Amino acid sequence: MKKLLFLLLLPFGLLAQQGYLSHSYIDGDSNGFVVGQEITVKFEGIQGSGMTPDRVHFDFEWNNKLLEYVSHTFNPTSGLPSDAQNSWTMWNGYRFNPLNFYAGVAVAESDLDLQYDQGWLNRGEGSYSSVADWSVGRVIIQSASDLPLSTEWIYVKFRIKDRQGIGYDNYNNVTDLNFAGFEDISTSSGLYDVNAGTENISLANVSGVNAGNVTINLNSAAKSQYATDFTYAIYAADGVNGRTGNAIETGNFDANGQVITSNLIVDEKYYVEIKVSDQATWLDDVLTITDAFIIFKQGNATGASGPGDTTSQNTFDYSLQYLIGELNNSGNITPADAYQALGHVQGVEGLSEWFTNSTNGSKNVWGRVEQLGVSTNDYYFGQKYIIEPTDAVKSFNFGHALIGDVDFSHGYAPTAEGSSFSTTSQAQARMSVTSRALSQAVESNLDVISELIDGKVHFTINLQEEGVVGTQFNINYDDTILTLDNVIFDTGNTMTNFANHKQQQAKVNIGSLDQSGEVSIKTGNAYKLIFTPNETLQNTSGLVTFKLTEGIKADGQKVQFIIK
Amino acid sequence: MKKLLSILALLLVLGCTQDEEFIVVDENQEVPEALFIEDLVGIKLSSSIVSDRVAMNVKLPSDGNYRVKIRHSMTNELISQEKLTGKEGDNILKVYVNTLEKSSYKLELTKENHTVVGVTLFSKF
Repeated sequence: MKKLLFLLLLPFGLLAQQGYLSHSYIDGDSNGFVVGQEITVKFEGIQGSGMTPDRVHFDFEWNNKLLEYVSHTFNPTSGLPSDAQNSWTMWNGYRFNPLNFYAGVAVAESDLDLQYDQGWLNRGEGSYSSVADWSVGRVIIQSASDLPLSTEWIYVKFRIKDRQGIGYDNYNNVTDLNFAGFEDISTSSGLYDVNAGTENISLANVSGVNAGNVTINLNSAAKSQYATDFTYAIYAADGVNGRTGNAIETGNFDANGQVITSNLIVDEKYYVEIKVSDQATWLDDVLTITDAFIIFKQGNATGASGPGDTTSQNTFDYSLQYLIGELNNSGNITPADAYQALGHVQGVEGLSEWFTNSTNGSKNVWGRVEQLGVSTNDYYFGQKYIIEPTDAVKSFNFGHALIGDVDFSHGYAPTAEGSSFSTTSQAQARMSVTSRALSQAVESNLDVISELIDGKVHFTINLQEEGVVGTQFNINYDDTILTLDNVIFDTGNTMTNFANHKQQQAKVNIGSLDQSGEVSIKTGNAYKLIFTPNETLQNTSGLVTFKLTEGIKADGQKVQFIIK
Repeated sequence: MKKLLSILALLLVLGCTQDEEFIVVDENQEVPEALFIEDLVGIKLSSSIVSDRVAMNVKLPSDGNYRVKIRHSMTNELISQEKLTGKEGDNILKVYVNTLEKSSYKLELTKENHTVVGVTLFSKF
C-alpha cells in the first residue's frame, strides 16, 4: 500500500520540488591548490520555487585523510536574521549510507529531503557506519523569520592534507552532502523537496603532494666497488634541462648505487646532478692505456683514401665517446687528445684540466639512461638531467661516465636507442676498437716479482702474452728505503716505451704503446726496475707494490693480466 | 789466548744485539716467541696490526725458492710479490707496508709454482 501511495504521489512530489542545498569552495582555483592550503566551503540554500524555510538541518561529510577540519563560521556575511540560532556538531570516523531504494523505487543520493526523512530520520539503524577516513558535520539553523536563500549560511574551513601514502591518488569528491531537512515551522510546511546543488567537491590540480619514496638508480661500472664515492644533488628544475636555486638535497649514493629520497613533490620537475667525489682515490685509474689507444685511433683517423684524405672517419661506437674522449676541450677528437691521454698514462704533469684525474678531480657526464648518448636540441649528448616523480613513476635510472674513460671501464656504456653507431649497417660490418675494448678481456698470465740480487732490489715484469701492443703498470715503492736507480726495457727494438718517475710520490708509471698497433711487445722480462736500498735488507716483501696493470691488443682487445 | 779473545768478542757482539732484530737464522738461533711456528712449514708475523714494517717468520720445509705475496684481503688482488731463496726451517725476515693503503691484507707463502703453503693476515693502519 505504501508503495502504491509513493508511486501515486511521486509526480506531485517532483512537481513540488522547491529548492536546493549547495556547497562549494570560495577560493580562487586558477592556479590550483597546494597541500597545506586552507580552503573555505560555503553552504547555502538555493531557491527552486516557493521555498521559505525557517529551519534547516543538514548533514555533510568530508574525507578526513584529505581534508583537515579547521573551523566553522555561521552567518559569515551577516545575511541571516538577527535572531537566527545555530548548532554545529561533528563526529569523526563515520560515513553516511545513502538510501538506495524506498518503497521499491530507486532513490537518488541527491534527493536530500528523502535521504533526510527515510534515509536517516526514520531509518533506524544503518544510516551511518564507522568509516575511519570520514567525518560528519551537522548544521542546524532556525529563526522566527524566513532564512534567506542564496546567502552564505555557514563557512567551514579545511586544510588540504598530503595524500601521499594514504591510499588516495587524487582529491576527487572530498566532501559529500548527506541529507537536508528544510521546513517552514511557522506554516507547518512539512519538508521541502530539496535536492543537492553541488553534492560533492573535488579539488583539481593540488600541488605540493609529497612524492613518497623516489629512487634514483646509478648505472656505472665503477659502482660495484665505489658506489659511495658518487654524490648527488637535487635542485628545482628550470626550463627544459636546467636548474635554479640551491640544492634541495645532497648526499652520497648508497652501497647499492641508489638514492632513495622522500623530499620531493609529485608532478614537480627536478634537476639531478651526479658526480664522483674529487677525493675519490681511483681517479687516476680511470684513463688507462686502453682509453689512450682508442682515443689515438680516433684522433688519427683519416679518410678512406689514405693519409692524404683528411676526411674524418669514425672509429667510435658511441657518439658519447666524442664527448668523453675530448680531453683538451678543443671541440674535436684530435691527436692532441691522444697526447693528453698517453701523457696521463705515463704520469706526465701539467696536462689539460678537462679530463678526469686526481689533479683535475672528476669530470662528469651523466643523464637519464633512456636519453644518454642521443643528442637533441634540449639534451647535449643526451644528458637529460630532469626527473618528474608522479604517482605512477617514482624510479629513475641515470647513467654516468667520466671524461677520459672512452672504454667505459668506470662508466656506463649508453643503451638508449640511437646512442650506438653499431646499429648502423656500416658499423655492423666492422668490429671497432671500442667494441673490442668493451668486450670480455682476454686473460693473460703475468709474473711480477721483486727480489734481492747482489744487495739491490730488482722488480721484474715478465710478459707472457703474444700480440700485446700496449701496457701500463703503475708502481709504488717505499722511498724511505729504496732509491730508483734504473729502468730497463726489453720490449723489442721498435717499441715505444715510457717510464715516468714521480720521485716525490715514490711512483713509477711504466709501459709501452705502439700507437699504430702494428708492433707487439716482446714477451719475457719486458720491464725491470732496479732500486738501491739505504739499509741492509734480507728480503723485499712489500717494498714494491703495483696498483694498475693493463694491456691492449692491436684490435682493441683488452688484456687482463692475471698475476698469480 | 786467541780462543779466549774470540769468545769475548762474540759475547760482546751478542750483547749488543737487540732481541727482536734477528736477521740470520741458523739451526741454533732462537726464534722470538711471537714468531714461533709449530708446524714444519708456515708464515707468521710478530704483529697482525702494522704501520711501517713487521718481523716475519717464513718456515720452510726445505731449501729453495719461494714466493711471499701480499693480496688485498677482500678482492684477493695481488699487490706485491717477492721471490726469495730460503733455507729449511725458520727464516726471520720483514714485511714492509709503507706503500700499502690502510686496509686488510693476506700474506701468502707459496712455492715457486704458486702452491700455497702458508697464509696469514694483517692490517695496515
